[in-house]
Amino acid sequence: MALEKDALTMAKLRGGIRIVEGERFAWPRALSERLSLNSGVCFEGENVYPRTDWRTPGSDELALLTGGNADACDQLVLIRLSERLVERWWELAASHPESSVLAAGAFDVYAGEVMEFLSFKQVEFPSVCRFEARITAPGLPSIHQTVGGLTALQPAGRLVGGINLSDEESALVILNLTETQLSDLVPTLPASASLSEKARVFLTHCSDYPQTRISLAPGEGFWLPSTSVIVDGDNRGREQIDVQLVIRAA
Amino acid sequence: MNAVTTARLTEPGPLDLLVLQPTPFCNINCSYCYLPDRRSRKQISSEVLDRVFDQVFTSGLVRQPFTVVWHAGEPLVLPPRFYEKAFALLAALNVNKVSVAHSFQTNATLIDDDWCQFIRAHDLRIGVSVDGPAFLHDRFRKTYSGQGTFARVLEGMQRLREYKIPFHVISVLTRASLDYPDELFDFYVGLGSDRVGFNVEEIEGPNTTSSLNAVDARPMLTRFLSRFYDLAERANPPIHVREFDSARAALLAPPGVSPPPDQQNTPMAIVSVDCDGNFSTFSPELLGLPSTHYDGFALGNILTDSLADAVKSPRLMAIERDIRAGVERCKATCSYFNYCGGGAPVNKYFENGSFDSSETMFCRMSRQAVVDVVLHKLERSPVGVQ
Repeated sequence: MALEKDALTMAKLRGGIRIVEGERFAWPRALSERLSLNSGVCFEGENVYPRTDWRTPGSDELALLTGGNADACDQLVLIRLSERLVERWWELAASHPESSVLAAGAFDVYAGEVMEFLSFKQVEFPSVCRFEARITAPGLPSIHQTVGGLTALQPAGRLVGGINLSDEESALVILNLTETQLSDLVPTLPASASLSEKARVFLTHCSDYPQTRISLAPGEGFWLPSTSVIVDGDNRGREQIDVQLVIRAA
Repeated sequence: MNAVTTARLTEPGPLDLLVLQPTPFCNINCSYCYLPDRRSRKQISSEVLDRVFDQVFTSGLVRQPFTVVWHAGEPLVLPPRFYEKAFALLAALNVNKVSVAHSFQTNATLIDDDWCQFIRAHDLRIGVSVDGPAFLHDRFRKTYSGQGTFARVLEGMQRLREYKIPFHVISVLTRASLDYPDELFDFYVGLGSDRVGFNVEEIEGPNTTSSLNAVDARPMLTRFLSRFYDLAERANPPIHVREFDSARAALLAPPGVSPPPDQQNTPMAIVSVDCDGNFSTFSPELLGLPSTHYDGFALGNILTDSLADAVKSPRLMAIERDIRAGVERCKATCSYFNYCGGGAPVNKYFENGSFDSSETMFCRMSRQAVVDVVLHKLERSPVGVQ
C-alpha cells in the first residue's frame, strides 16, 4: 500500500493536533514538563502499543506540539478539577465501600458538580453527554488492550474528555495527526474508512512515527478536539488502578 | 463664614471606627497598594496616642462601643510590647469604660508564637490579607525584592490556627482572580476561615489604574460572584461573605426602611489618625492622599488641634457638603441607592475627580454587581431566605 511519502521521512514529528493548557485553570507545572515522545509503536498480534522509550521533546518538537495558532477544532485542551471535586470523588467512593459502582444518584450528583465547574471554566459540552467512571488495571500498555490498543475502534459515543481521578499520575497517548492529515497520508483507503483503519494503515507503514504522551496528575484531564483523534491510556508504570471520569457525547 | 459652611448637614459621629496608623511601614510591597509612604519606618509616638485617646473620649463622639483598627501599614512590624502600652494608655483614659475592640488587619507574614499569645491575651480581632492560593496571591503581594509572600502568609495563618485564634480573610479581587472562584473557595475551606471579604482592586491615590476598569470586567465579576455564592451557600459549615451578607440584609429590609448611613459618608463615624498625628474622617484612605482642591484631607494634627474644633472646621464642612451632594446625586440617579447608601467618597474623588459625583467603578463592582447576584439568587431560591 502506497503512502504519500517515504516512510523514513515519517519518523519525524509533524504538526497536527495542538496540546494547550485550558486558560481558566491554574497549572502547577509547565506544559513542556508533562509531554514526552517516543520512537513509535510496536505490534502484538492485532494490537498496536506505543513503545516505551519515552523522551523529552526537543524545542522544535515542543513547538509543533504546543505552539502556533491551531484551529480550535484541532486543539486538545488540558483541564484540571478543583481539589474539592477530587476529594469529593473519594468521599463518594468511600461512602459506598460495599459496591464496585457508586449508587446512580450519587454519581449523577457528582457528574453534575463536575459539569457545573467545567462549564464555569467555559469548557464546551456537547448538547447531551454521558459521564462514566472507567477503572483499569495498572501496568497495561493500553486501556483498549483486548480490542486493538492505540488503534481500537472507539465506542459509539464519541469520547469528549477524561479526568484522572486516581491519586497517582496517569498518562494519555495520542497520535498527533488529524483525520484530514491521516487521509492525505493514506490516500489508498476509501474516504469512508474509519479513523482507526486509517491510523492502523499509517502506523503499519510508519511504525517509527513518534507518539505523544501527556502526563496527567490527579485531578487533571483532557478535552479532545471536536475532530476525531487517536487516543489511548497507558497504565505502564502505575502501581494502583487507574480511575478516570470519562465524558462522552451521547 | 457663610451660612452654608456653618450649617451642620449631618450629625457628626457617633464614632464607630478609629483607624490608627502605628507605622506607615509595610514589610511587603503589593503592587496595588495605595499607601504612598510604605517604606517609611516612622512610628506613632506615645504622645500622639495619648492625645488621640484623650480627645476621642472627651470629644462627645463616643456614644457607643467602637473599634480601634490598627492599619495603614503593616501593624505587626511593631512588637507586641508597643501595643501593650497603647492598650494600657487607652484603658486609662477610657473613664466611662466604653467597650472598645481592637482589630488588626495584617499580611500575617510576621505572626509568631509571641504574637499569637498576645492576640489571645487581648482577644484581638484579626483580619488576614491574602488573595487566595499562591498562583493568585503571589502575582501582586510581593516582597520588595519581587518574591511572592504566599508561603510566609500561610505559615502565619497556620500559627493562628494552632493557637485556635479565629480570623477573617480579606482578598483583593483583580481581573486575574475572576476565573478562579472554585480555587478561592477551596483555599478558604482549607484555611478553616469561614468569614471572607472581597475588596475589588480600586483606583485611589498612587494606584491610578485597576485591572477591573474594563468593559468586560463586570460580567466577569458577576459570573465569579454567582459561582462563589453557590459554593459558599452549599458549604458545610457555610462560608460567610461580607459583601453577600450586607447585600442580603439590604435587600431583605422591610419596605420603606432607608439604607443605613454609610460610615464613610458620615462625618466622624470613622476617624483616621496617621503616625504623625494628622487626622481625617470619611474614607480612611483619604488621610494619606493629596488633594489640591481641599489642600489635603487632613483636618488637623492631634498634637495641636482638637477633634471638637475639627468638627466645625471649614475644611470638614466643605468636604462634607460635597460628599453630601454626591450622596444626594446617587439618591436621585442610582437605582441601587437603597441597597448602598451613597458610595465611597474616596473612590468618587479619585475616579470622578469630585466627591460631588455618583457612580464609580467601585460602585459597579463592589456594590451593584453584588446586589445583582444576591437578588438573583434570592429570587431563584426564596425558600432559602431566612
